[in-house]
Parts: sequence; C-alpha cells; structure tokens
Amino acid sequence: MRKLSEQELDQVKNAISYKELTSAEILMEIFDHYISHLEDFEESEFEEQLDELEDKFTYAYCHALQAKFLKASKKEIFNLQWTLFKTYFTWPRMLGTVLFLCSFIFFWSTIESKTKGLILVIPLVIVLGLNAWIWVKSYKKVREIKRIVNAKKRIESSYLSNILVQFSLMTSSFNMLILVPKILDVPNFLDSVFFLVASFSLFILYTGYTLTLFEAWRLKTKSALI
Amino acid sequence: MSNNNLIKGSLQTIILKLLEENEKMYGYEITQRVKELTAGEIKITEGALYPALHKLEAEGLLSTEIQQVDNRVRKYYSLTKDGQKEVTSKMSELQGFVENLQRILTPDLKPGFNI
Repeated sequence: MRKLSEQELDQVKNAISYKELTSAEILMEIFDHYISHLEDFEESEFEEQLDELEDKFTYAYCHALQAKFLKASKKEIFNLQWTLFKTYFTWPRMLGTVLFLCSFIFFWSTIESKTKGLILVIPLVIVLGLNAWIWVKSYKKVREIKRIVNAKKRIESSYLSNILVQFSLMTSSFNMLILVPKILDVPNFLDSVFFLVASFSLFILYTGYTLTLFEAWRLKTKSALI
Repeated sequence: MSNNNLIKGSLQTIILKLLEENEKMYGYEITQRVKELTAGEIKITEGALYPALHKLEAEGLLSTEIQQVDNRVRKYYSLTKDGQKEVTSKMSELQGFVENLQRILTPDLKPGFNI
C-alpha cells in the first residue's frame, strides 16, 4: 500500500466531480473506495486502475446509487421513528401524556382567543429554530466532505432534506388550521368546537411526530452527516 | 463472472457474516476480504455491494460510524443487535438451502446428510 501523490489525488477528485453527485454520503463513500483501491497498486498502474474504477462507477450507476440511498434514508428515518414511537409509550408515559392532555384541554378552555392564536405560534417558532440548528450542524459536517472531494456542485446530506421537509410539512399543516377557516370565512373559529377538536388532534399528532423525528435525528446525528 | 447470479441471492448473508466476525468494516474492505477468503473465486461487485449495505442500514440491521482516515472520511459498518440476530437466521437459511441443493445435485445422498 502506498500514498497517492497530489497529482493523482487531483485526478481522482476530477473524475468524481464529473459525476455531479449531490449526496455527501455517496460522494464520501465513492471517494474512499477509489483511494483505498488505488493505494493498493503501484504508480505505473494508476491510470489503468482509475479507468477500471471509472468503468464500474459510471455516471448512471452513481446516480442510481444516490437515488436508492435517498429512498433508503427515508425508510430508515421512518423505521427509527416508528421504533421510537412504539418504545416511548410505556404505561407510566401513557398516563403522563393523558394527564398532560387533560390539563392542556382545561387550560385551552380558560384562555382568550388571542392567546390561543399566540400559543399556536410557539411550536412553529420552535420548529423553525430546530430546522435552522439541524441545517447548520449538517452544513458544518458536509463542508468538510466538500473540501476533501473538491466538489463543484452544492452537496448535502441525503438525510437532511428528508428531515427538514418532514418538519416543514408538519409546520404547514399547523398553518392550514388557521388559514382554512380564514379562507372559508368561518366566524369566531378560534372558539368553535371544530377548531378545538382539530387543533387538539393536530397537537397530539404534531407533538408525537415531531418528538420522534427529533429523536431519530438525534440518533442519526452520531453516525451520519446530519 | 459466471457465478454472479448465485452470489446475488446470498450477498446480504455474506455481508452480515463478515461483519459478525469483524467488529466493523468499510465497503472496499468487504470486497477485499471476500476476494481473500475465496482466493479470488468470488468477487463482490461494487454495483451490488453498496446498494446491499444501504438496504441493510435502512432496515436497521447495520449501524454506521464515520471516521477521519488520512485525509478523507470513511464510513464503517457494524452489526446492530437486530443484525446479530439476523446473522443466525440467515446462516441457517442458507445452510438449509445448500443442503437441499446438494440433495438435488446428488440424489444418492441420504436424507440425513449434513454439510
């Protein structure tokens, strides 16, 4: 095994950047594969071996691998969320959740409409802050890969868009709760039973989904580029 | 290689078994280990290896770890608890299949034959 020269490293980086990959995970893995393979051969065999690698890691293959990884990462996050959801709700926690929700309903019925509207904004602000925090953390990790591989295109973690999109979808659904009655011109909708039931159901769904998504991110952040 | 189709069906088992014997491995290392163990008779293609690794990771059978090696970043794979359980089940499934295949190829063998 030998170390590649700077010139050889540049050739590898160029070859990989022509593939126009955007997934930091795939780029990192292919780059490591190329270097590990080429280090096993003498300098005189470098060109031949690089060509051999290029025949295996074609543009089409790399993009198919990237697409499959994106799909697999979505599945992985969902599986993690589901596992967390199943293990979270033990009997004491279920009791705690029911007590919390009862107090929430009582609290909700005692406050004014304006306060209700303001309370609904709190989760949106938290999610927005969380999104920004996740994005910055991932950006810092991916920046290092971008520097090593010398990628010309913008690259990001395959997990990142999936997580941020899910958080955004939940945020949008919460917004809809306020926007739809406004559009339909429902009078005093903040005091209506429909709104109370809908906001309560959405609150449970929103909290459960966001918490498991956050936990899934926390677990994956130890080993992935997010 | 002519045995590529035969390997395809048992690739996941090969990966899981190798990871059971080695604490953690990276993609290229897996291809080299298989080549070494089979004296070059079986070559795992990169085209099949990485999708299989990513699938096992998504199913929660493998966990990953990123490490800085020289001037690059390397992704290591290792078995999760579910992965460890899966190795045993996959191995007995494969062994059963090989035994049955052996019986078909050599019908003279007694039913109690074990590899």
